[in-house]
Amino acid sequence: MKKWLFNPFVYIAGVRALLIGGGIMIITAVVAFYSRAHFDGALDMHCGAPTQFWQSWLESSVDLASLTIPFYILGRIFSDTTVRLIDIVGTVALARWPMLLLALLAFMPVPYPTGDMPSMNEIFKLLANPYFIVQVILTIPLIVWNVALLYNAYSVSTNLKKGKAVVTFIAGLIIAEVLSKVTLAELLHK
Amino acid sequence: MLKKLPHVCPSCASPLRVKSLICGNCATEVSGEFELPLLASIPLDDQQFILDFVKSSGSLKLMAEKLKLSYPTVRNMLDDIIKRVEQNEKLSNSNKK
Repeated sequence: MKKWLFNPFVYIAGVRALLIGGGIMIITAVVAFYSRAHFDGALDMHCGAPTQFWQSWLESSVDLASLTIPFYILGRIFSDTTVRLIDIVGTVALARWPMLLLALLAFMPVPYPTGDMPSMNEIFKLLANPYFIVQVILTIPLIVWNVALLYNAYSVSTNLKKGKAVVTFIAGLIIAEVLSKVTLAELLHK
Repeated sequence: MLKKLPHVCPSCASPLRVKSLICGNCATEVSGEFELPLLASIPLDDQQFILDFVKSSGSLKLMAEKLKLSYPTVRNMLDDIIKRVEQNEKLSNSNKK
């Protein structure tokens, strides 16, 4: 059970993982559209702002590509084994399935400020809202779970272990975050 | 109980050699000094993996289906066995010198 929760890639990878992960990505984009959740970064989630379906789908796709590219390149450089792109993209797509739960959490009636510069009153109202507190408490373990899944996806796909795996994974994650932020800013705000 | 074949000296960790062999039918014993085959010096699980791999015609995809594991997991298992065999090979060669 623990293996299925944290490292399902021992059993599922490649095309099968991509089909399952891709299916969950589509469902996540639909849910995010209705719950006004934004995955505007490889590890980011923001709520409240209205969105369109194509935008939700674009965010998920850019996040997936931003994680896949650095992980694949780092794997090719640092691993002694043959790293297949289909394994990286498939396992990373599947590793992002907790995002569906995060998108569902965004249905909670939290009074997020709508403007770019929220007033102090709006911030205090948000911090005092019990739904917001529950949302934060539930979001943190889901993000940690997502990172654990991503690490195992990377480790299984590249056969990197211990220190080498941890260091290159963190580097890949930082690159992915920057890459996704820049790409989405270019695509959505121009 | 399945006895494990020791391949490393418990005292100095050098590779062990075979001193005698016995016929299971007539108990004829052959004495000498023989080297252990390289494959005998890897863990039993690894030996079984290699046998299964050969029986699968060297197809990792087929192995993955049989073991109900993903392709990269099986490939990683094979890579790890290759590393262990290469280490044993190095150890054996350095002891010969």
